[in-house]
Amino acid sequence: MEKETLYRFFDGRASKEEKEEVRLWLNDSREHEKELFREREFFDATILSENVSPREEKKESERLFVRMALREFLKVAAVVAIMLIGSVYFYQSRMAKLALTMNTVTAPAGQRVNLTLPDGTKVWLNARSEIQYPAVFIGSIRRVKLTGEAYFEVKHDKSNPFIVQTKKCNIKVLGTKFNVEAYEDSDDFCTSLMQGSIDVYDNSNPSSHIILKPDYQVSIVNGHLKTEVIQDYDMFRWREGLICFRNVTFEQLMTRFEKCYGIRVSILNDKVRSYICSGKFRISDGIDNALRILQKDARYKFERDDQNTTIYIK
Amino acid sequence: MEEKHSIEVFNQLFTNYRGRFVHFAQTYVGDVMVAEDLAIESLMDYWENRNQLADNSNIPAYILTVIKHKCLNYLQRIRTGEEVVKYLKGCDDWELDLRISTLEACDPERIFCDEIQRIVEETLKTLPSQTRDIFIRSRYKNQNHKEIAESMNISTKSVEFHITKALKVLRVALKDYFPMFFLFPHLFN
Repeated sequence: MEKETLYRFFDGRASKEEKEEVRLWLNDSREHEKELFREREFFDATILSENVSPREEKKESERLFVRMALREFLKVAAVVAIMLIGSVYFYQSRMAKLALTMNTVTAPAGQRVNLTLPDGTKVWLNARSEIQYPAVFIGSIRRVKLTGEAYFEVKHDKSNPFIVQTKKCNIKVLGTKFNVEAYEDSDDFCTSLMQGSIDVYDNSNPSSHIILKPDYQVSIVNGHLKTEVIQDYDMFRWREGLICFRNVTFEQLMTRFEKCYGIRVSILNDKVRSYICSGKFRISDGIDNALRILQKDARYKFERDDQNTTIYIK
Repeated sequence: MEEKHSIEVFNQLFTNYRGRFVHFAQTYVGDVMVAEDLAIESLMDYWENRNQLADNSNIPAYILTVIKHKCLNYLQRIRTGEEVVKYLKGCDDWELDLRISTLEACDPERIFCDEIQRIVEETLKTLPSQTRDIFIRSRYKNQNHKEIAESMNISTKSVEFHITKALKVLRVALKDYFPMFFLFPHLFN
């Protein structure tokens, strides 16, 4: 009989065959029974004897305790983490939704609108202009879409550039005051900088861009970006509700009226085209009022067509 | 102060002996859950009666005696139980009888006699580290040969070899306490 078999038997690890082997061996003789008892005693002594490294057992108990405490802690931490993640996720998805929700503000012909964007930027919208902006600015870029004319006082934020998208060009701003003119029905684009700094990109040629300094303006001339000094600050007094002009031709003035009032002005009288004018008109007084006053000096007649879409200067 | 010291001493005792008491009980009662219950009950029994014991008493021997009696009660109850209980028995009748008789013959005082404990400890220290490690895993940590072989990346034959080697060494060291071994050397191949 192998001692190993006996020990496996004592330890409850013997196979069925081994147990049978022990049973048969046991029944064989009385001596075998005596021997089994001795082996059992030896076996008990070895499994109960002092651990060679008692510290190991203690450390294991300590480690076990630490592990269990850690597990309880992790359970709590996990619940807290899940709750945090859950609420952050909800918040983010709500914000994301808000960021996608676009607001649109339109200024009708002959009228102006003032508004403040979610980040505190102030916008003056001129007549026949429209601005589109998100309910909440999320992410590092503050983006708005503009058709028409607007004056911006952008809240300074170095890490979050402000971008004005127009049909022809995009303007990148960090914090600044500037005027943008980009009417939908016109191929003209012009932006003028009062304060700060802006970066103007040509949409048809994004690598072409110009950084403006205050008191400069950039427009599209022959399909290219062209910079020049701001000549006439009167152009920007629309914010005050005025059309101001100084030494401009009648034709040029009519173009401005067109932009402002959204009505076509067709000059049939060649003599009056190059008539030089200077003056100020309140926009809200209407185009008819302006034309009537100009009539006194420029000598012309004007009338509207049947559909009221065109004024003819005769 | 006294109380705090007693608790610390008991903690030490508990940590030190719990594993082997549970293992011992398990080799008799079969079920490890039952073994744990009995072993821990016995330890608590000692804690409750500690002041009644004589000053120089052998405490591990006392606790082992309690365990022995609890295990015997358990096994005897199974033996005299109803026919139905036969299904719940983890072993055959003859094995159950054998467990009861060997348990009755078990002498805690002898096992926890200082000399034997010391000899075993010293002897194990003389073993090469791998042999000692394997023996400890088998005896104290209750791992079977396959588990040991897998975790140490050796064959089960190798594990058996190491255990046999350790036992041989121990047997020689304990020859004065288990003298009969050497009367029948051919049985110990």
